[in-house]
Amino acid sequence: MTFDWHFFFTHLFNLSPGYLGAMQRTILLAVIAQTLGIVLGLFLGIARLSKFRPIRYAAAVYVWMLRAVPELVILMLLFTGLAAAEIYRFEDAYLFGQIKVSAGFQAACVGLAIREAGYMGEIFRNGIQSVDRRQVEAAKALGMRRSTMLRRVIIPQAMRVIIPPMGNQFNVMLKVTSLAAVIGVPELFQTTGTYAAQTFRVFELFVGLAVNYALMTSVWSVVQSVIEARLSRHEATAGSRTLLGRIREHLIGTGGREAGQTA
Amino acid sequence: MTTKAAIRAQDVHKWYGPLHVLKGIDLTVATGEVVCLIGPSGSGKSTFLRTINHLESIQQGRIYVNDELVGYRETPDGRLQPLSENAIADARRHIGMVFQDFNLFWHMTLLENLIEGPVRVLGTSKEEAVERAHGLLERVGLADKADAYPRKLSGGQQQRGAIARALAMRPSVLLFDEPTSALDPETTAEVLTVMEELAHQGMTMIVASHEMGFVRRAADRIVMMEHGVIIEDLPADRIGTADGRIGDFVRHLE
Ligand SMILES: Nc1ncnc2c1ncn2[C@@H]1O[C@H](COP(=O)(O)OP(=O)(O)O)[C@@H](O)[C@H]1O
Ligand SMILES: [Mg+2]
Repeated sequence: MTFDWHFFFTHLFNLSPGYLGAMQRTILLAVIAQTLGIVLGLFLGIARLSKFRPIRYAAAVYVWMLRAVPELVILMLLFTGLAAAEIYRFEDAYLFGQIKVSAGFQAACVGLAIREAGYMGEIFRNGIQSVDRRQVEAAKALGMRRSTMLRRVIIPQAMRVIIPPMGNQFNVMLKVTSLAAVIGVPELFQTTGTYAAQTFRVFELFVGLAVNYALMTSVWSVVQSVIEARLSRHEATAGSRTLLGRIREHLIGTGGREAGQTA
Repeated sequence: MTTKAAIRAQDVHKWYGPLHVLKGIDLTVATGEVVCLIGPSGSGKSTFLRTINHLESIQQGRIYVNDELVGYRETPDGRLQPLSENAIADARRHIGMVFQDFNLFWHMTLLENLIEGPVRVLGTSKEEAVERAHGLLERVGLADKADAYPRKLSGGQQQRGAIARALAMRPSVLLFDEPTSALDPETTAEVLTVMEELAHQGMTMIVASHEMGFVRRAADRIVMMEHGVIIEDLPADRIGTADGRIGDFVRHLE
């Protein structure tokens, strides 16, 4: 086996503009799709708890479909399928008349967002259901209307339960963006493939790619830990979980052997 | 003291499925009156209190707070129609409730708990609400805890905070559901002191509690429930000499 260390390190620490652009696209895609997914998911989660049965069922069917269908299929259907059937064709667009947003990038944002909404909907539903009924009654006793209660009490309290899995979703999202390659978005995965075809340094480039994904998700884990630590400031026993403990948890899960024994 | 009725319950019935929990409650509480509600566990005290601010619906009867029908609208032919969710919420603004387990919003500081209702429900300006909140915290002895989160306070402090939160809404009546049952004797005393002050300042109160000290010092009437009906309704100063079921029950408490 030959591993070109020189090529590897040059590639890793001196990213070409094309590669940097691809990384930017990956992160942008993840952020946009996650944000859209959160907004859609919030409505979905509330819909799943609606008093009206048709709304509840429609939301349940949506969640089921999105979990049942592979994300690659969703992307192909959305981008290639809809266009072929002449239902909808994504077109390149120009933001402020100059920044090009390619058709594939748009479709990837939408596709990954509707996939994400399915998961976020369940996370929101779970979070809302976790809110103590007595807290809701206290809000009612103050004369709060339902919308105020949702905004001021239920959602903020549900966030304690929602934030950790939401953070994990973004971690997954950073990696799932690689699927956008299938509809021609030049994000990290596709770009690496192109470079590999040009240079034949397949192994070096893909090890480098793995390192880059690991870097992005690890940085995110640290950010996530800081956010969670900040949000738990009202807990009775502040600092029972240290920041380092949280970071470790996000990187490699809760304590290996000890946790295994009690499980 | 005027004799205007603050709360009027007439023939109130409540079923939980097949379980008949309130079997025709009649009770009138005058403005400024303090009524203590006693009775064995499961007799329906909490349920009755919760029908007064319509946290529980009723299936028969009427409840009026300040002459306004709670939770329903009466049709011309005398039947009851449930009000909309928003109308019910609006009607709760001036009916304060204090719970056994305090239920301060744990994601807000004490001060934020106190201004939440006035700002979000009554539309008070934030500055005004904050100023009033500080005054109320002073009144319940928590002036130095404004920025503390509830989970970092003792039970007694939380309950005094919860009373202040209810007061921040300028309620016309206050309902207390076993406000000291979750507290130890020492902190019970500090909460009762706050409640007694309120009583003496003329607040209309119904208090489900078995604290006989509070009854003696602050209550005007004592009402006993059993199996979903009111079986006794006495002036509070008669409790020492009461006989029958209520006499036995009270002697058992002390
Ligand atoms: N949500 C509920 N569903 C069904 N039964 C209930 C519910 N709440 C209370 N009950 C029943 O109603 C009766 C009265 O309860 P409650 O009002 O809590 O009594 P108290 O406060 O006097 O102890 C009890 O038999 C209790 O089990
Ligand atoms: Mg009770």
